[in-house]
Amino acid sequence: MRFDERLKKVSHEQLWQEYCGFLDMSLADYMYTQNRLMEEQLHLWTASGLGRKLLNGRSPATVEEFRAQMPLTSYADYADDLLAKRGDLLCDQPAVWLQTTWEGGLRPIKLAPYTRSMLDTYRHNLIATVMMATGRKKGDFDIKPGYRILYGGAPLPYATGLTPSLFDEDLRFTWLPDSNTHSNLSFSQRIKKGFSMAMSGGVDYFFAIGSVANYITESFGKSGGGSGKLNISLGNALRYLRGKYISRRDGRAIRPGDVFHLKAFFYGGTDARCYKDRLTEAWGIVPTEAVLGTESTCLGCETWEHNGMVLFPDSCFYEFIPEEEMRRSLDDSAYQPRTCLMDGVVGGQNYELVLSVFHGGAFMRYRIGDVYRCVSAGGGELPRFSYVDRAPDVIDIAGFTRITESSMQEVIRLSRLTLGDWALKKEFDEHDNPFLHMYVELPPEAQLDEVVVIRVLQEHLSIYFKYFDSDYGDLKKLLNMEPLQITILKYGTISGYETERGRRLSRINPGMLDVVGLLNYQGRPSVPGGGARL
Amino acid sequence: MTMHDVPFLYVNITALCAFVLMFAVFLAAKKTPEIRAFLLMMVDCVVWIAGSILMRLQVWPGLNFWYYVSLLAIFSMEFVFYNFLHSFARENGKFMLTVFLTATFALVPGTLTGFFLAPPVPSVQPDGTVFYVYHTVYWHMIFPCVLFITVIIASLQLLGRMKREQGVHSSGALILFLGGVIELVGNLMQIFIPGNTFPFDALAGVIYAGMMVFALYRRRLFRMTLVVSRGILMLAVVAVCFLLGIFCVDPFLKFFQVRIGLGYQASLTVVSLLLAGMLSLTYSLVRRVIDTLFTREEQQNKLLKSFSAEVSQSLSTDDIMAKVSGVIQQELPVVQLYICLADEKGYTARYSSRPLAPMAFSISKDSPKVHYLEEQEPYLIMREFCATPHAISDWAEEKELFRRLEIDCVGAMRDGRQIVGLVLLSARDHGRTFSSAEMGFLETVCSVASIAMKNASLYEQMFREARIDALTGAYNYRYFVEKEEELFKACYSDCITLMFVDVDDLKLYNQLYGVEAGNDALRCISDELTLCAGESGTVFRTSGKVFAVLLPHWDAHRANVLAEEIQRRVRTINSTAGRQKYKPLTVSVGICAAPYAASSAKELMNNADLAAFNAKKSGKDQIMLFRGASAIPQKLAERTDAIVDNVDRGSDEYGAMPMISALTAAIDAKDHYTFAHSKNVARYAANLAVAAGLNNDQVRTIYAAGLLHDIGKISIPEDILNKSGKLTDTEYGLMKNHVNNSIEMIRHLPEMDYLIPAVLGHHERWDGKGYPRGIAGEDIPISGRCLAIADVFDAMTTDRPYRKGLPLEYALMQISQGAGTQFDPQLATVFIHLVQGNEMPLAGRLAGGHA
Repeated sequence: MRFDERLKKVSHEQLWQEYCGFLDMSLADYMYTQNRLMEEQLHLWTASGLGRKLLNGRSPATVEEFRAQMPLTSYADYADDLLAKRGDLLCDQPAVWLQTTWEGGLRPIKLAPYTRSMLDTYRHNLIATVMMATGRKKGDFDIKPGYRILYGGAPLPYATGLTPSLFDEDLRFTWLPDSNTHSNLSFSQRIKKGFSMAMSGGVDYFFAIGSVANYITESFGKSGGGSGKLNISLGNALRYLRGKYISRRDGRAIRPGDVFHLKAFFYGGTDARCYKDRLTEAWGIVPTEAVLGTESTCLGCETWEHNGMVLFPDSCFYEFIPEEEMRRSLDDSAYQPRTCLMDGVVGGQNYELVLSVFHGGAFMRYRIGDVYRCVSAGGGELPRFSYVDRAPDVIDIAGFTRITESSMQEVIRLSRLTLGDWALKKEFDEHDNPFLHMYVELPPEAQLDEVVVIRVLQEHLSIYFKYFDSDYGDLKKLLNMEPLQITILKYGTISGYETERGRRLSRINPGMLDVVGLLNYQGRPSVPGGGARL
Repeated sequence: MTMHDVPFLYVNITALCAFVLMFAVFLAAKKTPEIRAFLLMMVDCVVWIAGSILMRLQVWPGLNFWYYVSLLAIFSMEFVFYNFLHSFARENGKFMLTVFLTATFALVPGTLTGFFLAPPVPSVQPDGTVFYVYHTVYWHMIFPCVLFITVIIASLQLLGRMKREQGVHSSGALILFLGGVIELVGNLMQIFIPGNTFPFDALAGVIYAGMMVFALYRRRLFRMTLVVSRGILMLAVVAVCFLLGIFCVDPFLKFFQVRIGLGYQASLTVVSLLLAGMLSLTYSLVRRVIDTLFTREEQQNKLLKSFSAEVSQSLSTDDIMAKVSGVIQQELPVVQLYICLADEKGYTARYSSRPLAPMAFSISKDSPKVHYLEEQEPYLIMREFCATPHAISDWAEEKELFRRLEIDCVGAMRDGRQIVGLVLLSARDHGRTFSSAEMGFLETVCSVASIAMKNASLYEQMFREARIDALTGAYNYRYFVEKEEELFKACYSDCITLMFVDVDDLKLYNQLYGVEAGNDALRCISDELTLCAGESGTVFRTSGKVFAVLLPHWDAHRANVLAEEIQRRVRTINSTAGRQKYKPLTVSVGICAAPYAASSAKELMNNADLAAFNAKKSGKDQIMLFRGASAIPQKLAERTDAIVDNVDRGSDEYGAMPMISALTAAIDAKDHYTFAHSKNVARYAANLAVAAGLNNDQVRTIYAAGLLHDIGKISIPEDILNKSGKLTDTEYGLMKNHVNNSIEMIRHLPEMDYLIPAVLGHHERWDGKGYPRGIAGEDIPISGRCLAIADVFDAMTTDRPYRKGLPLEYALMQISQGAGTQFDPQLATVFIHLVQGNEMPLAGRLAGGHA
């Protein structure tokens, strides 16, 4: 029976229990579910060609043995088979292959297979997500067929395109617009189309990654709500006029919240936190954090209390690499970091997430490269998490770039600029907007006027960033600012700093202390070599 | 406002009875918050109605007192009513409840002082009827009215919320809403109908209380049969009759007399008939209710009773499972039923109500369904289970299994907390809801069945353990003896073949590779035998290295083919990868088929054993068929000589002859008489065996056993052996013990254990009074029976130190007399014929005379 039929026939309490009952699980029950489904996954995966290949002769019988014998994996371990779409090597024939960016132009895409069973679980958890976000208390949620969803997602084969298709299997929503039926539209055209539809008939839910949600919100204010070209319903027109009046009275721009009264607002993705306050102010509703990934499926969502996400127990088997272990493994690629399970996490700590995807998924002990903060844990309660950022070896700005050390080297190589040593860090401006900050040295022979150099470098590198990673092109539009800032260091600063500290400086996302240390170091008169003295 | 007190009294008394009755019956129900709230409401109603009645009757302490009691109950009704709804809706917040409780308490002083409504004044009419006139309704009455209206609004909100949140499951909300409307209408009619003399409010109150009961019932908060009995329902019939009599007779009479114009008698007849019709209608209605409520339960109880009696007598799990299936299918609308029992793997399907249903499945003990049953309920309704978070721990294949089998409900059979079995039900109407009565029935059946299953499983386990050889898993010797006898009788009109499979050189194998390797070899051989025998035969391990294969309805030829296949397979056991380091295994097979070569189960066993022995002696890895009795030869003595000479020479397979010679020499050294006696007995017995048609192997065995039958006498003091007088009891005991001594000596000698049955049986008597075992008839091995006759004959006819040998005729007479008591009658007759017919050479002094 479809969910919309069940809404009529089954009590809300029962539906809540079925979809969100896991929130009341004890930690022991949660771990039972995790272990049991992991046993199933282990059973399926070890029998598959991919499993046999990656296990390389090992034959773990239990989850503990598997964790002890199987090293952590990255996409490179799967790339040969998954990029060739070798369905015969998987646990089950995939129902769909989803796509996402890998390392920009260096390794363009990642493909992730989804079995039918994974899709069913994904759909179940998507509905749970909506219940949790619209809930006012347990059992009291607001879902009705026909609700209108302003949707800032990409079409299939991207993961965001899966959401409308999966909902359609169970529940008839109106998508503003349906990314799959309007896949021919560009990103900005889709946003405009969505707004146009919203103005004509209203909007109940809003789904978007944080940066896109912010862009849409800001566009609303700038476009004056879509102007008179839009087909506005009478109700919305009245609300719009009322909103206009209030905004004029308060001396501010009109906000979407003046026109629309959202029942739920979902956001997520990298840097979403930065936009939380302004989105709350603009829409009059606190956005609910949710995590939906390409490799990871639908992972978790906050409840109406906004006190962190509980990860769905039936999506993936979760392991957590403590932060210090993660850093150690980034410094030493041969090091196998220690992981703990859900019952071993500590509140207030950051962890890199390691996933084994249930229900016939391909990825096992997979370092997805995301860092989460455990907001609360202990006392037999389910731990709650919030998304922090990508792992430090990757820079992701607002969910639109994947810059690694090698991809940066490639950009520099392509640009044919004569650059010295460099370090790239993600930083935030005074408005909490994320940007790329490049600390670069110029060789003595390449040093010219500093101001000109910075501008040239910025423009030059931006061109090659766009060439290298098409998503980078949308970034400037989204952020409404130049995403790349450059600071030129004295030649030899980085190597000198490394010598002084006795360790290598991470070229991607060095710690803030290191950045301050670098700047302090170059201020000293004794910096060796370099153009400063020339 | 005036009211007539007569209908008030009757209706109110009826209402009071109804409320008291409801209160009394619900006191017996399990006290949930809803039931408690209902009981509180009934108490309030009782106080209200009772106060009203007592007021009208002006019972002590007076009208005013009862008036205030009744009014207090009426003003409390709002809170009590809201409290019930609150409990029924399972609301958590208590704010409104607290507000209404406070408001109700706040009204108490005003109520008791007549601040809102002053007590009525009785006014006696000229015809003697009494009216109660309420002279003063103060504006203060607005306070209770506000509370009343607020409660109604809050109640409607609550019911609306309940409907929204609980969807179709809130049918109780609709019932309570309709009841509320009836109650409201009753009260409004009470107030606004001018000159009303009927207590509509009390009647509406009774109807509403009835609807509350229905709402509670719909929510499965109680079982009707637990609170309502046949007696109560019959009481209700009586009450209805009583009311009909009170209210209908007089008006009807008047109607027929005044309106229709009938005479008094005619009117009385018509009214009586009408009344009788109404009463019978009421009775049939109540009867129907009784049948619906009770007959099914009685039927269930009857079924359960006979089911309990049947399963408690059964010691077969299969039988119990069939009975469980039967009783459930009789009472529950199920189309398919499976029973899974706990084992090491989980809960493995052991029974299906349909023979072709898939049975190759098991449910893991770690399954969330099992956890749910362990922690939550005695049964699991799939639809409800799927709506719990437990369901997400199900494996895809487990979900698929339940979907494929269309399982709607699972019952648990428990032993304490542990679940020992699962009953899986597929409803006739897939996805239907099972009623609480049906689930209660299933629970009881499972509980009765689990006890019976436990007993039966224990019995079956013990039965199995008593019959199964722990090492190989084949049946053991004990079961072999039992089964052979049983099958031999069962195949009386057909044939049966027994095959003994003796593993060659197992001792050497053990020495070479260790006992564990030997045990492993035995296990492999047992597996091969089981595979070869299949459904046609049964495999037993009868001793350390010997297996028996019992093949009912098989003849020797087919058995021979099977034996060849067994030998082939056994030879290949150690040729498989990983086992090539071991020496090849071989077996010697002896086959005997009845009725061709054996006339009793015992004989079949002995003959097959002998055949196996001969196969072994013939160089091992052989198949020997026991060919049965041969015709009595013309020249018996020559034939016997030919056979026993082989033994004496130690030729052929009788490699043990040097050992036999050494032992007989030892006897000779100690007691020459015994030595000579042994030789005579051996020769006589061999002749008798030949004459009786035994085959050469048997004859040789008997001859060798004859030589050694008194070997145990070596351990008896010579003074006892040669004593001329009567032996004392102690001496006789020692003498009797020589048989056991003989066995003790022989059993340790290599390759001579086959002589034991003959030696052990030579002092047994046909009537069972012999020693050492006291066995009788054909239970005594034929070799033992032959030796017994020969032993007695020689003992009587030879000279002893204490007496001369007895005459031949006397000896034969003694044997003849002992036939059927001491001796096998057939063998005794043959023996007497042999002696009398001079077909058998006699020994010692008889030799000459006889010759």
